[in-house]
Amino acid sequence: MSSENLIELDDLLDNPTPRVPVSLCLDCSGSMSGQPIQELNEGVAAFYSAINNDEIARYSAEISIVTFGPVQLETDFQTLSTQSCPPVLKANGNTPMGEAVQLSLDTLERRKQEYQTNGVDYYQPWLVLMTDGSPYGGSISLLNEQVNRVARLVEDKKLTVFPIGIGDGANMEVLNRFSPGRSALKLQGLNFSDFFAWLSKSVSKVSQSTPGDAIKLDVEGIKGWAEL
Amino acid sequence: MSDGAGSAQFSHFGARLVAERASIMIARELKKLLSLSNEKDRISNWLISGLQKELLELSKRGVQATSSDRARLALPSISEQPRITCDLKALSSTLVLVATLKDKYITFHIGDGVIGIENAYHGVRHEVRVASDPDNGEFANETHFVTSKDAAAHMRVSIGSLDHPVRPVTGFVLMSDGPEASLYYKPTHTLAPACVKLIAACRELPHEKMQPQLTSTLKNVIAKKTGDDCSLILMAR
Repeated sequence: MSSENLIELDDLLDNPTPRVPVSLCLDCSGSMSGQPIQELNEGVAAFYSAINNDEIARYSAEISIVTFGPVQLETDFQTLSTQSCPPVLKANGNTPMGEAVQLSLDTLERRKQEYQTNGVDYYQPWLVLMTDGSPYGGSISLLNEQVNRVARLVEDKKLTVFPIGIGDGANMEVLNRFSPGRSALKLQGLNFSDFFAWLSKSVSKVSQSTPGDAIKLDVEGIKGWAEL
Repeated sequence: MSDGAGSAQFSHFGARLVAERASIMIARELKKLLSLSNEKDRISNWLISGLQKELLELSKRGVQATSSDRARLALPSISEQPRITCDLKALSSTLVLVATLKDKYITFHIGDGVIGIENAYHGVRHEVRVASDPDNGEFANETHFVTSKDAAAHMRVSIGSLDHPVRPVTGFVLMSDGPEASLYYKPTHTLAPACVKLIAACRELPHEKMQPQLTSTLKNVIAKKTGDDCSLILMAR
């Protein structure tokens, strides 16, 4: 004897998908001209494509891109179901890293406020900071402020940060200051594609986590794109 | 009800202990608890310390992990090691509980999940509202558990009266975070009107019809909207 249902699917509510906000803060200064910016563009495009093809991450991951220098918000936070194509990044200008990180964090805070106002759940935000050089052309005191701001957020478990150096000119000492407890990593050559593939899988994992889950990064996978 | 934390190895054992022991503890002291409406902190501390003591004893004594648990976690076989000891954290679970006695009720809630309360208006119209919201912390994959260090501070206790001249309490709905996904609307902290239908069914149908229909509803309707496991308790008068 088949049982009847007490309610049907039409009776159920649709809640907003919990979001994973990911801020990419990318050095697009003059030194990134030529092959580096081309590889970066291809890596970001591959990242968008991988997220777009993931059933859950497509509605969960929200990506914002800030480039420097000059400091620009290329894309504000939105899911790939509404913006499936990445911007095309161009190399130009200096490396005002402090100003760029400030814009990334301010944009993240604003987005979190919007989630809270609209009753949308969200996971711990991610900040990916990539540079091929040293900070130049921006305010040193602002850079120090943003370093402290990021470090505090990481220590309070309010942010996950991935500082990544590109090439031999990358100032790893500055990048390490952004990452208390975990050393900054250097990309193997211009292997943006493998890094962004790893990032998309990591984001997908977060978007499927449930209360109590500790997110364990794929450390083995890191060996595929980082110099360790 | 108690929902085990997804990533905690033996949270199903923790959840079972919490559900059973909390029910027994509260049933024994219910009359006294209902008179302590100004001492909710004391009530929380009493319940949490009692449950954590039992959970700690279980963690040291060891759980009787099943063959499938052992295969999943690459643990020794039952004959090699009948009981598996663990950290307290491995037994993490939430708690959602309602108890009534005569004209009073008390609710206990730590973690996610929802408690809904139904009132009747002028004996005719029923409406359900949230008595206790999910408590997820800032992030979607965070919540509080009975095993958490600050569990007592995050335990929400409320005591109320079932009788009211205009809008008496006529039912409760308790749900874990699985059904919460489709019966509780997060932006407005409200419950689906479907909860009234569910409580009405509990009130009207005999047990032998209600139970299989509730099972079918959970399996074939509510579970379709979530990847999580689903628990639902209905109380009606």
